[in-house]
Amino acid sequence: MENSNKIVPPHLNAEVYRTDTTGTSTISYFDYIRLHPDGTILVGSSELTGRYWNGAVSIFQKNTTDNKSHKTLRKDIYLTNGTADGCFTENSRKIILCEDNGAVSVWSRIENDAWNLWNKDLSVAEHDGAVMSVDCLAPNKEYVTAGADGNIKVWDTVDLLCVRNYLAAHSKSIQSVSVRPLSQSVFASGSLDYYVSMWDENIDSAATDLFKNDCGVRCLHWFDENHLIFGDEAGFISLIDIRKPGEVTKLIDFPAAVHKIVVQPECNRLSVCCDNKIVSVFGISEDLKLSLIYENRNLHSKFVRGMVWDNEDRNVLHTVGWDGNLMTHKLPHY
Amino acid sequence: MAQQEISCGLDYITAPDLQECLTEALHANFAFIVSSIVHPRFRRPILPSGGTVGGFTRSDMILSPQDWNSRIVGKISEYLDPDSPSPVVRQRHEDCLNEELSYCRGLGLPAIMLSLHSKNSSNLARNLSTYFETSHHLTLIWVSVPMVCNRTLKTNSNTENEKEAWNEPWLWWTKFHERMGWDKRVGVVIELSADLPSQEVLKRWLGEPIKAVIVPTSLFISNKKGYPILSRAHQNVITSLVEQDAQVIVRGAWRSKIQYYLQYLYRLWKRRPYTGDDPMLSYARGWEDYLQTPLQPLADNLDTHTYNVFEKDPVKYDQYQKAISQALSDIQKRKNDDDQECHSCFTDPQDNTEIGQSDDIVKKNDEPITVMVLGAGRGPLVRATLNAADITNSKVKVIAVEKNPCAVVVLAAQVREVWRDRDVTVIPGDMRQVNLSPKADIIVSELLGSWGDNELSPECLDGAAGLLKSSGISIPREYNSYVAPISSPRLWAAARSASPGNYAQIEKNLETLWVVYMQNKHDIGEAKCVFSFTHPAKAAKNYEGLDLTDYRGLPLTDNRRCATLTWDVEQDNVMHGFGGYFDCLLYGKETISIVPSTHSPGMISWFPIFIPIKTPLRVQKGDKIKATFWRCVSPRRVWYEWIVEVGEHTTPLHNSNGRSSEMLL
Repeated sequence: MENSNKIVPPHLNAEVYRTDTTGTSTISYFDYIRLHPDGTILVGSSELTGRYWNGAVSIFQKNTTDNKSHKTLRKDIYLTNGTADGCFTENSRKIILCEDNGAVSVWSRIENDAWNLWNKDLSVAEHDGAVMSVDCLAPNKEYVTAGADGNIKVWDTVDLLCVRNYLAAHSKSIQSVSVRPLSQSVFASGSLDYYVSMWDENIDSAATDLFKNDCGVRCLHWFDENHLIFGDEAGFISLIDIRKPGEVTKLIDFPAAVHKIVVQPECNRLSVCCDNKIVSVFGISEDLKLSLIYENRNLHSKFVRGMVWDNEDRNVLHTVGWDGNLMTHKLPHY
Repeated sequence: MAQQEISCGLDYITAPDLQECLTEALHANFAFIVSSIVHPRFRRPILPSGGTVGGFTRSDMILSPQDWNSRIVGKISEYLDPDSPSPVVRQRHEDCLNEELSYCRGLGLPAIMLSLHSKNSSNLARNLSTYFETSHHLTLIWVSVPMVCNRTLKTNSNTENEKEAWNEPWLWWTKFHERMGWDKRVGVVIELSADLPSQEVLKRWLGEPIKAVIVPTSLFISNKKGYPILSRAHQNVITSLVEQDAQVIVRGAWRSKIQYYLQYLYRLWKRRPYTGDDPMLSYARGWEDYLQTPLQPLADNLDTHTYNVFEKDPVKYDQYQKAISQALSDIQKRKNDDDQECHSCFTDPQDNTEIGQSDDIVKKNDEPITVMVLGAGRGPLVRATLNAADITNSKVKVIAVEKNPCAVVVLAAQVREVWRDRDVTVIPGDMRQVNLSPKADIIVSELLGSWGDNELSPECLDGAAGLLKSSGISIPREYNSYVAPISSPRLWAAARSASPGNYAQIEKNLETLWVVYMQNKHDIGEAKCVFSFTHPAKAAKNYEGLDLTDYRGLPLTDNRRCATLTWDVEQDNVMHGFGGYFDCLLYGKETISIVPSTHSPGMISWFPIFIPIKTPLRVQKGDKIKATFWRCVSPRRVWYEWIVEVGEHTTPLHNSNGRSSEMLL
């Protein structure tokens, strides 16, 4: 290290720390990654242990370089709060962001803008807790968000109007919401209140409680129209056949809570990350059994948080993690 | 302690910049903020060895120590679930919980907030007990519960479910509090719901130690000018909770400027319904739920300050004066009637008798009525008697009997200086032993305690029975004690820890009557009469049906009592003991009462008593509470014993043989 020419009296150490905020703009925890079919990547990141719990988003072309870190990745949008989820809408120049202060916001960029500036078009803070998850009901028009407040909201994203509000949908934080394949109205939610529920946007309140787990549900994803896969705090991945609510098949267990599941429907594959550094990919057989295809234990040095399957090469998986790195995994040929 | 001011806090969904958030909230006049200690989305591996790498939250140096220990209520991570049915989750989350708790201990926060979502909380309670055991800094635990369980409400919309939905969160809380041994460092924070429960449920909440009420911003509606306001029903609930010492926490998305919420709450509190000039309210301020041991004026002599306090009662002596006036005029009337009778019987017609007759009347009327004030203290009842004589235009001879030598000095001085023209005599001595003649037409005493006979009025007055003519009047004439089963974790915890230290003392404290201005309690049943006493008392009878007398020829009374009372439980609750009251018929129609339903307006002399039970009893709707009280007497002392039964559960017998509390004769 270089010597500093600023001498701080040792007894003022705390006071100086309180006022010296120069070294604090590292937003180093990557939380999620989304990929637009045109090859644009959206990476959301938050600062979770630093002085300021703020967030940032980077939007960039996939093929610039493969592996990226928070040091090399340009932040296109700075947020005063962290962000737990986000997605593209309409095109790769328009995104929806979920913020930790309960706001849902829509950002866009003018095409061919030399400065690549993103503008906040709309922002509505109606969730009473962090917005944890977003999914698309009707492309470019209707999106569903779920929050730590236990509420689920359906948004008309053109004007960012809340068109359906499921208050107290769950009694604890909803970790994940997932829209049923081929449906524009049915979605499932998983919450720390142990419940997996299914909702129909056309019906005001009545939800079907698909299953009550023995611990908090962390993530869920539809496998096909009738099968829902969820991961929980205990580290189990389980399968629900929505035609038989209340029943569940435990597929596999991990040594840590399951954080996210991403299904690659066309290949019957499933990527999983937990509260650890491991990325795993499983194949799903006809009789709904999992078999390990790929596992990586060392590419990330901290918890893996987000995953997305590549749009061109189906054997490529992109992952982000709290080590502030974007990694690309090449799977054995399938 | 009823607040004069409303204290509001602001709950941040996340506080991205804690310094900035605190400044912003204080600037808007909030008193404190509620913030997560660890980022709510941050997860960390906890190794069994306890070794974690790196910091799991921001540095505490961003705030000054003063801010940490007066302005910040720390939220424990919401995801933590140390009572999960899954053993692996339970263990992991327990470790994380302890890490956050020990970090909070380091910060010295005034309070730590966590939330309950079910009645399973034994592991949480266990870890928090350990935390209390190992923590020297006084940090309170605030447990937040919703007002209603939405899931139960939704599952089936019938009335039974709806009731259950309002009952459940209360059950979560009391189960947890029970597991924490009703510790007074643990309080409840209740989250206001859009719909409100029945009055019964609300009243039950008012008996709990509510530290704060969370007002979600979603409950506010906009008025015509666009400012956020609350419905009338919500206003009332908030006011009644704040009157119980609760603080207010604003939570949720900011649908309006935060200072508008605060300004509204301030205005709400200022505009609260005027409670009137109840002297009790202003007199008792600062004494709410503060336990005192009952006075023993018979065994101990009161000091001048105590006299000074009790003489200030604007209502009690007024009632006495009215009662004495009534008694004086009744006696006068009786005398006149007697004279009339004499006249008609004995007088021969014609002139000379007329003079004799009028002489006789003058003579009879001239004879003063003897009023003895037993336990005159510093003389308020002497004054009341003299006033009553003036009002009824009767002649009285007042004899003030007082055993306290200090008070005798005061009485003697007044006789010499201010009552020199009146017929007042001071007799020093114990009313049970002095022997005076002539006997009294009226004896006046004020020997009642908060539970009526608990300052040994019956024993004193029976001992003084020889001072009263056979047709004489005793003021008071009759008094009754009352009890009502109550729920009050705060009073119970206060009684238990009134003298911290050894286990034996704790046992004793829960077998003792406590004088307390009860505020934070909930009545499980109405007040019912326990013991009654009348004066002059009738003698007990022997097996031949004859009155028993003692060696002085006075009626031998039996002041032992036993009473069994029952109450039907109308709502699930936890019983911590009884509230105790009395009412008293002085004379004629003049009464004094501290029974809540008939309390003499403005009378401040008595706070009620709290009679604890050793182990709080959980009672359910439909149960019957059966309580038996005994008043036991020995030559040297008097004491109470009590026992409570609910269904299959019975408390041990309290205060057996007066081992923990007694009144000395």
